[in-house]
Amino acid sequence: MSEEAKIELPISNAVVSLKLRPEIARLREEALRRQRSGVHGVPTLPLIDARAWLEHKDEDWLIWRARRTAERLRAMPIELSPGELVVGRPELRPPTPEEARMVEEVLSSIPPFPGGDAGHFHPDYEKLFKLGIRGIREEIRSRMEASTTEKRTFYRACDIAIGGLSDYIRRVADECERFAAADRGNEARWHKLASICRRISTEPPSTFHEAIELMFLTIVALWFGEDHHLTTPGRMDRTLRPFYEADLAAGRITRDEALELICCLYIQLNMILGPGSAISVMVGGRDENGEDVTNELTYLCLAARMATKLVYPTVGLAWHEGTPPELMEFACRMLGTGIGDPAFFNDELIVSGLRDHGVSEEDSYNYMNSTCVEIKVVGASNVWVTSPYFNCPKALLEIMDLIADGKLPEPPTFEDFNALVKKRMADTVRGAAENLDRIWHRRAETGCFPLASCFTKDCLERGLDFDRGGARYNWVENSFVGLANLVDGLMAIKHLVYESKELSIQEFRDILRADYEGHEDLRQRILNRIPSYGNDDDEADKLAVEWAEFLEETTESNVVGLHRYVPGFFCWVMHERFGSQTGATPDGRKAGFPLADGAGAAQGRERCGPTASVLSTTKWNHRKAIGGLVQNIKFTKSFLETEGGLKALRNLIETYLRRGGFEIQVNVVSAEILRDAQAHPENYQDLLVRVAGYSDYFVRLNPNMQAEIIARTEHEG
Amino acid sequence: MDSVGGLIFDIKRFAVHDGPGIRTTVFLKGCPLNCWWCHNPESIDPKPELVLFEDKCIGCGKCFEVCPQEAHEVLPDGTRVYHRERCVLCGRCVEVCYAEALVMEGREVTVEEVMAELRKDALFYGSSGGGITLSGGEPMFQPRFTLAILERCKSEGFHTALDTSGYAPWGVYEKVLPYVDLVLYDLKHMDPIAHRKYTGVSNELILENLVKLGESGVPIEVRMPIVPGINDGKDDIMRAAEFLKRVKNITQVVLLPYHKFGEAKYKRLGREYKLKGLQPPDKGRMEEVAGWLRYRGFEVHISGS
Repeated sequence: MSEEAKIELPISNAVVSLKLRPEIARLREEALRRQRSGVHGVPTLPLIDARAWLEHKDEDWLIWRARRTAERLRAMPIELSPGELVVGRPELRPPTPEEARMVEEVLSSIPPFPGGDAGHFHPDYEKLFKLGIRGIREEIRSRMEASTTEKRTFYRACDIAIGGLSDYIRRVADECERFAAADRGNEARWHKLASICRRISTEPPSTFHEAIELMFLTIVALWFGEDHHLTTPGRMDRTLRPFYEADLAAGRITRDEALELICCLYIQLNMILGPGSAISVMVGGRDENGEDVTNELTYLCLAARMATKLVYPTVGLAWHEGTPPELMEFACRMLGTGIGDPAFFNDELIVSGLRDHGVSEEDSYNYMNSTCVEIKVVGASNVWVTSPYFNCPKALLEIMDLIADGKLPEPPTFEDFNALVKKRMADTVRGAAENLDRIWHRRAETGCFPLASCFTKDCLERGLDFDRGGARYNWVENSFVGLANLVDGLMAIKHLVYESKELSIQEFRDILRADYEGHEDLRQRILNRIPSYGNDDDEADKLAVEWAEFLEETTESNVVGLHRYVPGFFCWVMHERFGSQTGATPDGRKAGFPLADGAGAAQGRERCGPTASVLSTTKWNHRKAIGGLVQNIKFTKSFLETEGGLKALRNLIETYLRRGGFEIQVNVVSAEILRDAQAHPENYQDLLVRVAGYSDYFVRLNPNMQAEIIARTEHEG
Repeated sequence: MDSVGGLIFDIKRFAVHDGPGIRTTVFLKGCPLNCWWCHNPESIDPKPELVLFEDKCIGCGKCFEVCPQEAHEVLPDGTRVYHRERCVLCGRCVEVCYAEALVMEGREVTVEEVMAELRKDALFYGSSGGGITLSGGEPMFQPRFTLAILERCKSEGFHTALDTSGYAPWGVYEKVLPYVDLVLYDLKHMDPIAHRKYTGVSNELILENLVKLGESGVPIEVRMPIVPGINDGKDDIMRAAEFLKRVKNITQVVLLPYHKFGEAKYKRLGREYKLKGLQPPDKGRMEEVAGWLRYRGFEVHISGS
């Protein structure tokens, strides 16, 4: 990036610098260091919880939950670093042995949380920025006065929780004042930060700096105060836009200063979130009237990613037919730098998919990928994601075992065999749905989130907690991992067992148990001669379409909580985790190797290039897959360094999206670089690769995943 | 017309360096030239060839079982040997080599088979300004096949590019030109003696055809391989520039820096690689060469950048 340290913003043609000032570069280095050495939690939180439980367990459940949050926010230690412009993360460290022992003790004294997903959270920043904490408290109080006893308790809980947030922000202000005394020469900056925090602890933000600071502190409060891990900055180019434009017009801020503040926010996210996770920003897309939202902040949010080059956050771009061509070009050039961002989301498809689930037209434009690709409506959702991940080829192996062991008769036709695997999968999905439904109902009793309720549409209007039906949208999304392995495995069975009749199911199963030992020729034949999904081959693709649509329908035939169960097809790191637990599969995959890393072809199976791969994946309907799916395409950097390569990439992405593809993301690396990085990890600490819906540092992936990423890279030729 | 068939060795989808946009390139087998630097040596011989990728061999032994000629052998020391002289190219070993260590370079195909493959990415051609490219080998070495494919492509609305060495009778070019939207034309050396030495043929016909092609009005992209010590001298380049000045309708000159990726293929084909040890030109050198041509008013593009 050094040779491209400056970048031109398309709308104003203004030039901003991507080179971080030394102070900010030091913060970045510190974030990198922490990513390497491990990011910890706040070890005292369980102790605070235990005290709150002892003091408040006789009060209403909601009140105890609110007290717990408020007391965490009053006691959580705060850490500041020199040079920071966005401040207020909690001090994170490993617990002392003494603390670890005590935590164990106290945890057993508090009723356990029922489970389910509470993270991947999106607060309603727009409302917060408009009303400020004071405005929201006024709303809570006036609703409280006008309501019945039961609802009054809920409002009181909300007031306690948001009061905790206000206190936390004031504490950050106090810390800044204290730090000013220690950081000689920078007193003015610390006083300014203190006064920003002091103001936003009650008032709505009036500047870009105040708004981004309030955004970060709200993230911290939800994350550490109420366990909404991975609370995200979200749609920054919408929520922060009025502040940015007003400041710019009034001469209160320069573009470089705004970019620096965004960089500081990004760096902070890397300070609080350990490796192997994901947190997201999304830009572009359309507003509530269906108009494109692209503005200068869209570009600055992307540019900050290039300037910081850290693992978090990933920046997604919501694409629609009206997305400006210059934004697409900017995005593709950004990919050419090797950063792996942005991923492209199909705005038109997602908007229609959300409306299928009863989302209003206005809300349907305001969604987010909650971390990887799973979709939620911003500021209005109690939506659980990836609940759970399903291992697709496992169902196939189980059926093979039952037949091989004589517990099921060998089905006479492939169609019969296929039907058995489907039934197995449907049973697994139903079981999961029933279990989730039980958790959903338990959450209403012994879950509940008063602080989240303040920032989730309709909770205050309805006087109901987030977990008790207050949120406007309530559903659960799952995720199917290894669709390609399942389909390719079924293709092998179809050809070898049912067409050429060379093998029985039992013989095939025994070969798999032996991990193809002594049968490498068979394995090679499966890999090279039997049609596989992702190559624009109608026979294999037809089976993939049949299966994808079956999995969607079987998911939606179940109800969890208040809504139909919603399907998804992506894997985060689960393709690797499942892969390591799954024996050899009939698609020629050896035991332990990762499952397919997206909704497209399995790794190394695309024999006809990316156009064929894109055509295959878009043969089935993605509109139902609001739980998210990923199409990976991988290019070497050298490929994208050519003008022709960049143009072709853009066309490939747009063609995929126009054909109804859900999301597409690009990995840009060379196999040589990756191999060198394996041999000399010390030289490649900040080499980012897109893994699966998220990016990670290559050197920190385990050898299995590294090998897999190299296999992908080799394949591009 | 559909009964016309030809010999190809590859069809590559998502080709982005063989003309504008996203293209599918058909590589025809057989070339009248035999350039020392050729990175597709499997393209030269106008008949199929069997190639062994030793690193892919899993030692299953199926090739021994099926070979009627005893062309496959493993020596006592474990060395895998393919006796090219015994082989009759029956292809039985290729059929059972599931690991794809044995590959038949070159297959007979009909125009319809090629068209079926070319249609697969039609969606991408339209939106990217791409199309199809015939390359090789030398497409004009199989003129009836080339003409038939080009005719069909034009009738289906595909943009067509012809990648040629220029070494074919003018009459053949005249026939295909109505169906060609862009010519990618190689210019390898200006000196007839050196040209004969390094490519096996003289350059007179090539230079003549290029001038005529310019007159015909078809856009021409001139492609110059830059091979250090062979054709990258300032004199060579200036002579080329001088000549190209007289050719009409040149849209740009593309410089193709010599690279060594073809070297391993020579061994697999049992041929000698004459440029062993030659280093590719570095970026600076390529820029320098490009500069000389730019100075003479050409739009120059260095391939791979």
